[in-house]
Amino acid sequence: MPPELTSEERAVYEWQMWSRGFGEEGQRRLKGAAALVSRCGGLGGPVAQELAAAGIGKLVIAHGGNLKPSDLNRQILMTHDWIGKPRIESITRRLGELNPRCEVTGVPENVTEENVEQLVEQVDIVFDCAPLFNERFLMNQECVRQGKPLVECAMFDMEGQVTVIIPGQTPCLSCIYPEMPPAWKRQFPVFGAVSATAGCIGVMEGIKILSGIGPSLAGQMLYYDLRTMNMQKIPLQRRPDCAVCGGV
Amino acid sequence: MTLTVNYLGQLRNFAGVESESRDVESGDVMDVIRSLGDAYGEDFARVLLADDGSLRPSVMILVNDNPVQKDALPALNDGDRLTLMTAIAGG
Repeated sequence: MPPELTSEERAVYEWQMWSRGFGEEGQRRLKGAAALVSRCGGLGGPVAQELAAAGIGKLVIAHGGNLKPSDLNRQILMTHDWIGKPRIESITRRLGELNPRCEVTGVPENVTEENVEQLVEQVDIVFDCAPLFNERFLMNQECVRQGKPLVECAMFDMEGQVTVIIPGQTPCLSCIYPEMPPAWKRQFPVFGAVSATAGCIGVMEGIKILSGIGPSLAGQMLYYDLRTMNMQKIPLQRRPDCAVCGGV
Repeated sequence: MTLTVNYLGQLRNFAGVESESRDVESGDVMDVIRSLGDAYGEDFARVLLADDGSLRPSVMILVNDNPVQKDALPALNDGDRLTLMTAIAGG
């Protein structure tokens, strides 16, 4: 049974509970849910922020390293006074200020082979916001293994891609990209508003999955281009010989 | 024949355009991709083609906005839109 809302929570979330099909039941489901966000920069920052603001019960945030000046054009949970200090401390502080009702667990590491199982175990859903494919493939593999939904959010320059992976039902990330893309680099052109767009779309997919409303992007990729303002949904197909989800 | 070719992801940076109208001699998708690789250089080609000249599995191809199977590429016709999409992971 999802937890009851307090009168204070009803007051805070009232306007979104007016959303058709969501209501108090949807809010209670959100309160009873836990999500992993990895990482929590230009894309994951808005994801964590919007999930916290919307009233998710628990966030596990994985993000390593210290804050650099070049993070600040997009990483909205970071503050200028924190340059040189651990990013995760800025993230947890800002989320706590935004919504003290949300339980936030900050992990000062990025996703690795060593920690991915334990990170995914703690949550009901994973938001993949990592800038490197090795981390993305690790999360995909672990979500498939544990049967947990994965919201894939990605961007480059003024383009973004979002899809929802439901293990056993939809293509997984390895179905879509069976190899490590050869030319991807850690540094890429980015406006904060472009990555935040992908993040906000991903958050709504997660809220819909957790609260049981609306069709999701499961099995489809939403592609947007903020340079040309084109947007389209691309159907995706499972690969029966997929090394990750072929047997699921 | 004339195609509209759309470049998504990193390809766009290598090509320097989002989209273009392009006259091609062949309706074979691989021939078109090889000719684009010749036109836009090694970095562009490396995203699309493996060392043995085969299409990379990480590339998504759409014809007239519909994804096509890489092992069953359709013949292109005059006026078709060919979209080449690469994997991105920015955050």
